[in-house]
Amino acid sequence: MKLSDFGKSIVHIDLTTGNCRVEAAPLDWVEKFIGGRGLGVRYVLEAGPEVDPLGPENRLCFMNGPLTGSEASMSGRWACVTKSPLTGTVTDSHQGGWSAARLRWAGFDGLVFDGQAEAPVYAFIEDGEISLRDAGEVWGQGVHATVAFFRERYGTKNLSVNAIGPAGENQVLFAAQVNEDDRAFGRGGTGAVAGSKNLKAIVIRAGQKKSQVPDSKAWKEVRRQALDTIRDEANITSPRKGGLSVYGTNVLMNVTNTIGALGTRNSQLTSFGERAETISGEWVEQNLLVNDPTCHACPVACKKEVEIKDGPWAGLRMESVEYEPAWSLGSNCDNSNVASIAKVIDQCNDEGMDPIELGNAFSVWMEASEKGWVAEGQELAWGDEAAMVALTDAVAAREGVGAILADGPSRAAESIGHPEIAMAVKGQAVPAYDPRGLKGMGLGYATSNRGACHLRAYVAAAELGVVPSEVDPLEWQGKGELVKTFQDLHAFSDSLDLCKFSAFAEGAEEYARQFAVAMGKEFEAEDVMLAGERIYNLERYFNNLAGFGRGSDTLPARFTEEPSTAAGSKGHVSELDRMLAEYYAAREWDEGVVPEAKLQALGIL
Amino acid sequence: MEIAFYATLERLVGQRRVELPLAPGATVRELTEALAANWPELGEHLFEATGELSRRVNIFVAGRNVRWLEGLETRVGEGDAVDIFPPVAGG
Repeated sequence: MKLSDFGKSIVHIDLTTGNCRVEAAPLDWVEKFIGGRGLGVRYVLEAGPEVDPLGPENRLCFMNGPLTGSEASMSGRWACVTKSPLTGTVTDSHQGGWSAARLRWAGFDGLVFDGQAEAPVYAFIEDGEISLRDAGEVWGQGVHATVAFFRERYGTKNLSVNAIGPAGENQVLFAAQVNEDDRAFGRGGTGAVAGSKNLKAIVIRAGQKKSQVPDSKAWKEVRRQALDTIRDEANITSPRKGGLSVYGTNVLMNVTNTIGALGTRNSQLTSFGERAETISGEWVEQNLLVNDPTCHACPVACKKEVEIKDGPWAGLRMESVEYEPAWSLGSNCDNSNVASIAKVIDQCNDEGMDPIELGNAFSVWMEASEKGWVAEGQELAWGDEAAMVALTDAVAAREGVGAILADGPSRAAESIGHPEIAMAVKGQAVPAYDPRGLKGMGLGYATSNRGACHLRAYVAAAELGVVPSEVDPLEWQGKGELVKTFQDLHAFSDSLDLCKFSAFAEGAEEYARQFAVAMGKEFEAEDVMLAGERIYNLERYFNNLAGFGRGSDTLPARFTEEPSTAAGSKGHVSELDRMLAEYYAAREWDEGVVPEAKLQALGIL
Repeated sequence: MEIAFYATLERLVGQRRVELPLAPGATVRELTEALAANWPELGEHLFEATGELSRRVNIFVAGRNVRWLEGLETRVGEGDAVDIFPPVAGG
C-alpha cells in the first residue's frame, strides 16, 4: 500500500447501468484538494451544483484521504460528500470505525456513485474488485439487522458494513449512514441520497496492509512525534488520562452548562441547571459505562459503550451517549433521563438518522405544542420520553407527525407558520453550543458551508481553554480571523482524513510533517493552511452557484435578539453582524460570495 | 464556601464537592492555596512552576473563567458558584 499512490484508484459506479470503472483522479485535483473532503467536493462540483439532491444526477462520493488506513494515529476516517437534500449546499460528513481503512486495504481510494439503481443493491468490495449485488433481502431492515445479515453471509473477519436504515430508504432528509452498527456519516442527509439511489450498503472485506513510504525511518519518526502529542498528559486526548479519553465527548456537558452555553428547551434558556448532571459524561462513566471501543489506529478511544440497567430500556447496550445527542435529546427537549436518550440514539443508529437534527425537530414541536400552534392530537410535551421513543420510529417511517418532522426542524417550523422557532442555519439544525455563551461558535455556525455545524470550525477548543490561546468566549472581537483559521485547518485535516479530535493535540506542523513524508514531497505548515483555505473556498463557490448568495450566513433571531438567561453569559446575545464583517474581511469575500479574483488566486478557476 | 470539581479533577479529589472555610469576598488565590494545602496532588495541577494559574485547570466563578476576570485576584462573591474543570472538549 504505497501512500503516495493516493488518488490513482477511484472507482466510478454508475448505478443506472451497473457499470464500474477505476480511474485516477486528475493529478491537479489531488494536489490542490488533497483527498477526503476536498477531493470529494471537487467531484461533486463536477456533477453540478444545481442538481436535485435526491435525483439520479446527484453524485454520492465516499473519499479516503492520503493517510486513511495508514499507521498514522487517528487515520480511520473517510468523507461522504454530496449535495445535501436537507440544506441544498454541498455537504461532507465523516465516519470513524474501520470501513475507510478497509477500503484502502482493498485497493481503492474512493467511490463515486452516479445514477440510480432500478432495485436495491449493495456494493461488495474485496481485493481490488467491486461488484453490485442484490440487496432485496435487507431492504427494509435496520442497520443492526443489515450488519448481522452481512456478517452471517461473509463472516466477521476483516468485514465492515456501511448501511442505511429505513430512514434512508424513506428519504428522511436527515438520514444517516452507519458503519460498525454505531458510527455514522451523521449530518446532512447523505443516507437519504443513498436511499434515493437504492444503495443499501457498502460491504468491504479486507485485512490490514502495511504502508509503503519513500523513507520508512522518517515515517516512523513523524508518526511518533504526532503520537507523543496525543499521549501528552497535558492534552485531553491522553489515553485514559485526558477528559476526552476517559469520558468521551460528553465530558462537555457540565462545562457548557456552567458557562451558560447549554441550550435548553429549544434554546429558550441557556442552562439546564442541576439537571445537566444526570445526562453528563461523568454520570454516564460512573453509572453506565461497560466498554471503551475505538477506531482504526486510535489510542484515544472516545467511544463509550453503555448498558442501561433498569427501567423500560433495561438491558440495552449501545454506543455512545455522545455530547451532541445528549444535548439535542436531553436539555434541548427538557429530558434529564439518560436511559431514554440512549434508547433514542440507538434507534437513530439502527434506523439511520442524525440525532442532532431529530432532537431539534422534537424541540421545535415541543415549543410549538406549548404555544398552541400544533393541531389537536399532534402535541408533544416537553420531556415526554415515551413519546420521543415512539415518534423516532414514526419519523424513520414517515408516518403521522413523523412525516412532518422527517423533513427536519426548519421545514417542520415552516409548516406551522413559525419558522422563527427552528434553531437552524441554511436548513441544518444547530448543535450543542449556544452562540450567546460561545460567540465564536455562533460565527462558525453562520458561516459553515454545510449549514449549522460545530465541526467546520471547532473554536470551542480555544474558547474553552483547551488549546493554548487567550480567547474570551463572550468577546466578539477577533472571532472573524479565529474562525477562518479553524475552518481552514479543519478543512485540511478532513481531507487527509484524520479525526477532528487530532486537533486537540496536533496542529498544522504535525499534519504537514506526516503528509510530506507519506507523499515524499515538500510540504510545510503554511501549505496546510493554504490548502485548507482553497478547500473552504471551493465549497463556498459550490454554494454560491447553488443559490446561496449575500445574506445567507445567518443565525436564528433567538441568538441575536433574545438575551442569554443563565450565569456565565447572562444578558448576552450574539453580535453576529460585527463578527461577520471581520470574517468577510479575513476571507476577502463579498458578503459571503467568493469573488472571481479570489477563486483564481487559489487555483480554483 | 463550596467548590465543585469535574471530570478527571473530580477523580483526583475523590468527590464532586468540597467545603472550604472561606468567607465571601475571598480571592481565587486564597481558595486555590487552601485547596493545595488540603490536596497536594491537586496543587500540582493548579499552579505552574512560576506560581501562575496552570493551563491544566479552568476555574469558573459564577460561570466566568477567571482568566477573563482578575485571574487569581478574582473575588468570590456571596452566592457565586465556583466550578473547577480540567480542559475539556469533544464534538
